[in-house]
Amino acid sequence: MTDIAETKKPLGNLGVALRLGGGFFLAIFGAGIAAGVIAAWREHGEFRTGVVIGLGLAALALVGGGWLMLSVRSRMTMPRSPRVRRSRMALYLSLGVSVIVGVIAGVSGQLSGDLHDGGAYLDALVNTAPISRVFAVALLAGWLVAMAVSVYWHMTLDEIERAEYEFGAVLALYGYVTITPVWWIAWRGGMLPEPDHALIFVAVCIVWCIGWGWRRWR
Amino acid sequence: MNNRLKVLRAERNWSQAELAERLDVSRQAVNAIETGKHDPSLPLAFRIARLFALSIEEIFDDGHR
Repeated sequence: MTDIAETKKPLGNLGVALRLGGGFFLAIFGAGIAAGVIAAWREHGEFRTGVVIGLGLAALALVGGGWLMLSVRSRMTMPRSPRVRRSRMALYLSLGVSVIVGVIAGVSGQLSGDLHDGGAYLDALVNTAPISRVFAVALLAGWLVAMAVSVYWHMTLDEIERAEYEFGAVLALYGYVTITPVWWIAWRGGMLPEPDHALIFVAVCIVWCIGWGWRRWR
Repeated sequence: MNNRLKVLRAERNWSQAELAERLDVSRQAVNAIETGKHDPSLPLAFRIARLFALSIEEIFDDGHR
């Protein structure tokens, strides 16, 4: 008798991205339905059939999204080299923490405040309205954890990956030391509004990604 | 810098992933070296040379010989 080991075909990068992205959006969709149904339930105070159906749909979407994301685990081809494996796990952990922080921030709506009207979601980036201290501490803690894991990930990179990452970082640094003084001086000269730290931060991150991507796929 | 990494790997029937595992680098790193997009550091060049039991000059050529 031949013992045939059952193995699942490994997913490619696109397959992993589609499953993770699809699962993530399905989970967010489910969380949105649940939040909407519960809010309506609290407002009207009646446990109607619609609430049951809505919560059922939300549960289905959440379970489906969770299953899609978890299904990736057994289908991924993890590197066998211990250092590369550590690096990959640190990257996933860092991304996971960042996504959780982002979802909490997005669902709570505290960062965007009342800017949802008119579809001004991007304005949430430059919103300077006060937020609660508890929310601020939670966000800070999440961000610092993500940064600590990110530093660990950087230390586990091999020299080629590190060179790609650092090329982007140098480009971002040049972007920062160009944008910040130019905008500041232009503001002092009455040509531009006051410099916005959040916008500069986003611009620097974008330049970093472009530099890293160019070096990686050139 | 030119190198014979791809040929040496093919002679041993190793995939890029297998070579990467032996060198403790990522598969992308092996690809970057093979295609000449990245010149390895001296420590990594020594690791590669030891793995194939060759000298660095037998694997890498800077065009000055």
